[in-house]
Amino acid sequence: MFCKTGEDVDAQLQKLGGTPVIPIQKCDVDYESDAEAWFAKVIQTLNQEEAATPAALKPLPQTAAKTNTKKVYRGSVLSNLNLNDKGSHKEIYHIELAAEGVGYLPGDSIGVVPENPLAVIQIIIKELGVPGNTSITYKDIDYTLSDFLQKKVAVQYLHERVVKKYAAIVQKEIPENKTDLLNLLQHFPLTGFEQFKEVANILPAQSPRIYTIASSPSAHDGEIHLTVEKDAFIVNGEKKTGLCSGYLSGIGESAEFEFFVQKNKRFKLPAADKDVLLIAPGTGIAAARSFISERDAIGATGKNWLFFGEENFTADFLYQTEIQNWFETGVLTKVSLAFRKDGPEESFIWDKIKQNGKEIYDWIQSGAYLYVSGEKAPMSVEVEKALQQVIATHSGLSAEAAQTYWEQLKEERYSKDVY
Amino acid sequence: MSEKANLSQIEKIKQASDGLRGTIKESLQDEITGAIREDDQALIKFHGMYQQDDRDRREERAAKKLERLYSFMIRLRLPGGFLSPEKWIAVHDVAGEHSTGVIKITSRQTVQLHGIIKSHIKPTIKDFNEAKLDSIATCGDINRNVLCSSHPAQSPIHAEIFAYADKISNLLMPKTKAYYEIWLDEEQLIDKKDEEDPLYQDRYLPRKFKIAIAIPPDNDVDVFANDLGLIAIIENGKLKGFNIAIGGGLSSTHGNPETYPRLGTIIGFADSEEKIFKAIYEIITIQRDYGNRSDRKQARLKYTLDKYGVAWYTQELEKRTGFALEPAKPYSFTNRGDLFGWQQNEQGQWYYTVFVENGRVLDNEKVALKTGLLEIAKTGKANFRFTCNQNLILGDIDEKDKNTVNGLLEKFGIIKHTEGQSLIRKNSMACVALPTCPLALTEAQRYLPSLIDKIEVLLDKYSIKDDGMIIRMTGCPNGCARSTAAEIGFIGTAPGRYNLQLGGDRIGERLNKIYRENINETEILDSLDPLFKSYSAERLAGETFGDFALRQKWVTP
Repeated sequence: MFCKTGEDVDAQLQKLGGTPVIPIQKCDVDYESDAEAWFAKVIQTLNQEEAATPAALKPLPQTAAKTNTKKVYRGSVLSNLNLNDKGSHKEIYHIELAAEGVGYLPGDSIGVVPENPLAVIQIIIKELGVPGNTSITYKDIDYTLSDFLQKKVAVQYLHERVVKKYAAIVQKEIPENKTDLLNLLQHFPLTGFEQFKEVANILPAQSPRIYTIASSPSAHDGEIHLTVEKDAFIVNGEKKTGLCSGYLSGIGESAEFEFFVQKNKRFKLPAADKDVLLIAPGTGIAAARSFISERDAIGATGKNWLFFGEENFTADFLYQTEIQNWFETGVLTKVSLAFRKDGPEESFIWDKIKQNGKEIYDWIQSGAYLYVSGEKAPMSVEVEKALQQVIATHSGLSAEAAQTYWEQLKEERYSKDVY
Repeated sequence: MSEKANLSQIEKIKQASDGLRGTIKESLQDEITGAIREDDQALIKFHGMYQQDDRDRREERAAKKLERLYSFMIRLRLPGGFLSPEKWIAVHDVAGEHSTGVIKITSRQTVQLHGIIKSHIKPTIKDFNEAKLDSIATCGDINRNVLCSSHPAQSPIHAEIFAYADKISNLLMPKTKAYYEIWLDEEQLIDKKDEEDPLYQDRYLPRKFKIAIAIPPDNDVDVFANDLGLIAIIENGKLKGFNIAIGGGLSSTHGNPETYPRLGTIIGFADSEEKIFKAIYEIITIQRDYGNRSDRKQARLKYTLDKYGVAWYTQELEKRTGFALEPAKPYSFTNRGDLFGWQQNEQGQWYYTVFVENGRVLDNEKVALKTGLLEIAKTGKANFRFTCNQNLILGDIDEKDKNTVNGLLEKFGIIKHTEGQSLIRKNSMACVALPTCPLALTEAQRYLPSLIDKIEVLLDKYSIKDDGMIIRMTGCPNGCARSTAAEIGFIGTAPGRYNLQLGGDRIGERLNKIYRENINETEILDSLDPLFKSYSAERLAGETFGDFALRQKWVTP
């Protein structure tokens, strides 16, 4: 199913009578150089047709900066603590970074390229039988072997595609399951380091993980805060943790790691006098914390209403004391909560939205901006359904008019940051 | 009048509370916090509960940006400490559903549940209500649970005297219907006149008020530790009436010499039920009208009594009741401990007193006490009675059912557990203290068992292990486990430190005094070692440790 969406779009466009200006380019996670080359070709092709193109459609002049060179910063960890209390099923970490001079706005994210566990890298190097400082070239850049393995490429949960390529190199039958590089090296050994150079080029570059920033530049000067849930899952009956969340959750004070800022222009606060309604369950609270901190720091006059949800009130109420302070000082006008494992029946944040329907509708009517952050499905899907239902119920509009109302709201005053 | 101007904050809250309602309903709706609003915290006491938090977890939770781990303790109103087996099952189930699961038998003959989170308070009270149980007025500035000597084998007319506990409790119930409205969603009264309360008015009492009934020769209720104590006078097998003692109360505050523990003073005798109730009622109205309402540390009846004098109080009482009390009748106490094991009463029914360490009913590695008691309750053959020493009596068992109950007691190791304890451990008592009690300065019920282990070694060393001396520990000087009325009292001063107090008598008629101040465990054991040695070698026949301590002038009365 590699690049299936791209293929489908391409096929559909052709079916509708389109002709490709240039052929489709399929990219893996390490997409940047291929994508850049492709975009360059597109621009070149379009430029050749410039004479025949109306001025309004002319591409903007390219800026000098290369598209893939996001500025990389080094942040050092000020503190890292698990926000969940005993009895929780979750491990969600609040990480504070010293990040002097890093420009960002509430709603932005950072990208972090995780490092592979050093212990694993050391065994791989031992398995390869060469020193860690041996030079290796990957996509035309030279690295030391240990740096390359630790920082540049993925070595765990390798995709079936990669396994297939490895099988071709070693000329063995290998079951096409997700597996680790070390496992491959141990069970299907290479002939030597020369062969590893081939293997190196099939390893996917480590891709960045994106985390919404939980701090605000006005409230937390020189710092960036993150809310990171340690991702736990089962592989072949074994409990594993996500590489990046596992890496970040275990990171100690004064450790450093690299990151870049990922702007999110579609998720920004409105003017200070506008009201905002933040629907931010789970780690979605990161974006809300950033927004509320900012509104508090700048003395925004608009009202703020926070919806938060988690499993358990006593163990999982993320940033509870901060939320209480904002409520006491009036920064938060209203706080609505859904702890789904507390009651006799599960209750979700979208239920809470329906329960507060009338008031939510009044807020929307008086110009409030709505923000949804956190889990994509089922959360954001159900929240949208609930909001549509709220509008339909309380507006008195016909089904069709309510739908139009919702579409317009989405267009103008509704944003989401979901994953 | 100056006092009126200086009413304490709690007084203002009570008067403004609209019959103890305050904003409790709103507090329950505040979903952002597990606590209730500050003023309401004073009011829920009158409904039988305290807001507490796990003090062990404060720092860690603050670091996690979580508020304190709030929960509530709910205490039942059980005059005389009695539950039918059906009600015990209900309490067992409620404890499992809504609280920590531990059923705590208190030093005032009732049971309380801990660790109930805010959203579970109403379900807890609803479940209790369905079992015809309530928690009205078990805390707060009001008459609390009424005690009565617990063991029916103590007297052929135990039942007759026992009935007074319930009657007194009903006589002194507040008239407000707030409890039913707030916790049980019953409809609000239209006519507030139905709630008018001639006894408590809108101010209630200046401070807590405790009543106990003792049936000589047993003083298991510690009758003199109560604001109002009744001592049953029995002549020729007939109840003649009661001696009345007032002004008992054991709490004090470290570093505040104006505060002190005090035993009740007997002010006379009343013979008829009518007179007894009238006297009780008016003793309370005098305290209501004259008790200190500006300084809560001077508000108990004992301070009112010492301020105005016994003669004045008795005169004022006579004025209000319209009759004079008769001179007190002779009586004598010989015992304060519980009658463990099987006992039979005059009517031939059987009673088994179970040792419950510090009143905590739970299953642990030593004994499946909670499960065993549930199984016994399910047979429907035994009532549950609680003692003021935090133990439990399975009672009113017919001869034909004794074997069934005994079999279950054997099966769950309860007999072995009860009989396997030293007398010293069975006679000991500790209050709740850490981690939930907000007043605690140090450990009590979590620590005393291990200290007793070490004290037993010392007693064994001097061959006095079978001595029935009374050891009590409290985590602060407020005296919930009546540590000042013990032969050896430990009163918490700071983490891991206690005042060691000696010289109290065995029957609760003399308080102890400080022997060593603010000492740790090593110092406690080093202090006790030579005392036990000397007691073992030099005591007179029948001389108790408390009396010996006084004769040796280890402390001066």
